[in-house]
Amino acid sequence: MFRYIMRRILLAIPLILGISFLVFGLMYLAPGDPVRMLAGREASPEVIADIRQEWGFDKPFVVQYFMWLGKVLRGDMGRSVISGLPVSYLIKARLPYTLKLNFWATLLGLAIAFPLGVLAAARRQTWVDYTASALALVGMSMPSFWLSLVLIIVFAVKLNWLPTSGTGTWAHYVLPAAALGFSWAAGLMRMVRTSLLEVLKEDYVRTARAKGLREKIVLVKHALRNAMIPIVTVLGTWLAYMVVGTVIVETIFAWPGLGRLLTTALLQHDFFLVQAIILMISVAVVGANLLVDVLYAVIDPRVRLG
Amino acid sequence: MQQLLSVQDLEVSFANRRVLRQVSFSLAPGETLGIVGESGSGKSVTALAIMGLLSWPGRVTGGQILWHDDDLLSLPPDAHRRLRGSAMAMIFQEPMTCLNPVYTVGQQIAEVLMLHRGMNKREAAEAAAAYLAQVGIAEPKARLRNFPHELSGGMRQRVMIAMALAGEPELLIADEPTTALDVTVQAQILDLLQRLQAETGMAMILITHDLGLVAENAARGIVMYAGEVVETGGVDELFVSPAHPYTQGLLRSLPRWGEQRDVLYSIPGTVPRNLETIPGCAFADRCPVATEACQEPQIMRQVGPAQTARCWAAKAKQPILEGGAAECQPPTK
Amino acid sequence: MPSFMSRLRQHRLAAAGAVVLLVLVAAALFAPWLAPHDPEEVHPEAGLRGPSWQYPLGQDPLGRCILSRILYGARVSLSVGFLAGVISLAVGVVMGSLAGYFGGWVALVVMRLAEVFMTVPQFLLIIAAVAIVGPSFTSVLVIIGLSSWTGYARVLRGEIMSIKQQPFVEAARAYGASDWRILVHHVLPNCLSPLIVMVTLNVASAILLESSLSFLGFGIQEPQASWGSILSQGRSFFQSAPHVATFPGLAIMLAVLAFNLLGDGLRDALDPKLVEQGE
Repeated sequence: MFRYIMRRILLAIPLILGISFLVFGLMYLAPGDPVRMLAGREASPEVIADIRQEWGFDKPFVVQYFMWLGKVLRGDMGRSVISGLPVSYLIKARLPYTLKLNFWATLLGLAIAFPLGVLAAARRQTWVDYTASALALVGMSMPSFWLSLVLIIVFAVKLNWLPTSGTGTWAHYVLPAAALGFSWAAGLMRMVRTSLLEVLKEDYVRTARAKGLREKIVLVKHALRNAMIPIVTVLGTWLAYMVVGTVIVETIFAWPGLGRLLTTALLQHDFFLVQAIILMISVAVVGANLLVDVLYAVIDPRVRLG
Repeated sequence: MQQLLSVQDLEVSFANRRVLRQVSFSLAPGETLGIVGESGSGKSVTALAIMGLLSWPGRVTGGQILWHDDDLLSLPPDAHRRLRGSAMAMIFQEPMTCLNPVYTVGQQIAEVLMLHRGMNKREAAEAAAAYLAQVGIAEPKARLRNFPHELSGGMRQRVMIAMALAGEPELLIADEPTTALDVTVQAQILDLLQRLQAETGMAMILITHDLGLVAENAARGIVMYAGEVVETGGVDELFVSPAHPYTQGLLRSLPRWGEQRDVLYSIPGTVPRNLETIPGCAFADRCPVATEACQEPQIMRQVGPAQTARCWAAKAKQPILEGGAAECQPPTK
Repeated sequence: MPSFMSRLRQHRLAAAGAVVLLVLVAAALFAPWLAPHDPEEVHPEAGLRGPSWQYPLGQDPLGRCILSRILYGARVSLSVGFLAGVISLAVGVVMGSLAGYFGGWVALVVMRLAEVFMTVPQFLLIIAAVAIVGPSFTSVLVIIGLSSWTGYARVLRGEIMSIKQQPFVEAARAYGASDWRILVHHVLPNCLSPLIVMVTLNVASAILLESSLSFLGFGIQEPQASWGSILSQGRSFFQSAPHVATFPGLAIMLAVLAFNLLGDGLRDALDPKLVEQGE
């Protein structure tokens, strides 16, 4: 088990390096001269040359990449060309908000997807199944911005139960988390249902029934755990889908997280900030994938040998 | 002697298609009954119906299954469930896929013990080890912690048997228990089953397509074809002097030592798929002695002291080995 | 009976999806004849009016007819979706074929690249790339297309690898069949069903991505209007005039739903399903 985890971690390192290269390359291609932006409009050529040298913009691409990488590993991700504030500071300020929102959205999503998926599979081809599946299909097709707007209109404006934006109380979490979690949950619910239906056809489920176990136990103890296996393998990628929603939901609900920071930074051509955010989020995804791999080994003992 | 199990005119349908028709037989306590037939004959469906494991779209559409004089079919599902795994147990053909891959062998056996015998975890673990020993597994305590994929096919089947035994069943149904195993292991498993029967006094239904297995391990046998029982009898009678043309055909198909043939005998034709379209005998289109009378529904006729066959032409015959053919007599109406 | 009914129902859903799709495509194609007004015609004094007989879906902040804009917007949104889907398919198939055919380090590079593309959240890549290159109809569709190739690549590579092992490949080579022929005649037909399903689902996701981009302002720019950008214009006013955002949103949902239904139905139809039988 330990070796399995170590191997996964070792494999993740070149992946992260590859990602960092891609991210850096992307920003390198960006138009606009960062030096001019750093220096300001009235800067003299000498100042510009100085900045260029100080930041290493005069060096070749590969050298710049390694310089940047080195700095990042030491925690220095550069400064925002707009505000001049250290990028790491900006990110640190926003990161908790994004994490909290995603956490609750994921929790909400799981709480909806799993029970519904199990129910739909257990009562397949009854009205329960049809309703749940239809709901899931619609939910998957719904753009998150549309859902957000609808939720705001219904719950915040018409019913006035919840605030429309900002943070502060637990009430502020509800709508954004719901908007974020819902369509993600819809897709997950379908996966749960499909996987469970496949597993229920397996011989060992018949054995479990032959032992006289109650159907609930057969479902949850024997079938579900095996059904989780294919789901967990894609869970990592599936979690990454939440990113689209994150950017949009944060923008609509004025949530002070990384997503909103990203859009602002892009509009302002604030490269270092954009670079850093994309890198951070990608690393987070890699981390999430690692956790998922561990979870996979916990669920399926056949994997632990590797 | 009161029968342990008595199946009467059982009828099973899948969606609206009948797959079992007029299946009747009985089993005494401690007896071994063999059910013989090819794939599609309905033998597994019969077993699943007895256990209450028929899954949609299959369901029982007629008949009775009497267990100690209680009709299982009229019991509430929960009552039938309580019998499963305890009073009646079943083992299946593919030990590879019949055990849950994510739980240890010990956990899966203990489950039966905790459910049906009310043991706690510790007691169940000890008892599980004892059962593993009883089915001939070495180092049972260590094996408890193994996962199914860590064991060989033969060992997995032994584990299945142990799981079945753990409920202290009065009846064990074994559906092709050795078909997926190596030949050497097959013999071991069958010996094991016989020994366990002697030790526990449980009755056994052995389902197989292999005539030889039934001949060696069972006391009585029933032959099924296309969802019907076509012949019943003691194994001696069945194999020495079969009455039904299908049984005769099966035996004739077996190659024999010392026999000289150019072509192996096989019953011409194929098993019909749909019972609905056949009013009379399902075997008629392949039967060497079929007549128009065979278009009528056939009833089971007594052809010997303990032998019945579903064929108007059946009479306890001269032993096949001497090349005798069934004597044909027109039906007495 | 019940299993047949369920299969019929599934086919019905896929058919429904196809029908909706055809309707949408027709709406896009025949927009000039179907639209009641010129989508660009502004009436600033009549901004944000709700649905009325003259303007069935209401008017946007500049007084333009929302129905007309949605009809014309269908052209943009749907074509971005289709074209991006085609690009993804092409790139993915090529990459996957290269990886499968050459194996070795080519495969390694391609697969590692795929891993990177799959790990970095697609939306981040897209939004950054579009911001760099500058948003426009072409850039949006090319970038979305280039970011979704990984699924196809995997399928192709897997298929080629499994075909390579088959003895008939050697035999085919022996009688002079070129590798190209083998690829086209043997590999592609086998992949066809999963590929088709992937394409429909991919187009659905492309439409969603484009609309999300446009909503944030990074996608289709004025004067072109996709459903997403129409919706984003209504964003600031959605509390007072929800119709501006609601209707384009419904259009997006309808299109995506149709593709999803179609994809689902195709997947079920192309997967050989074993009818449950007794023994």
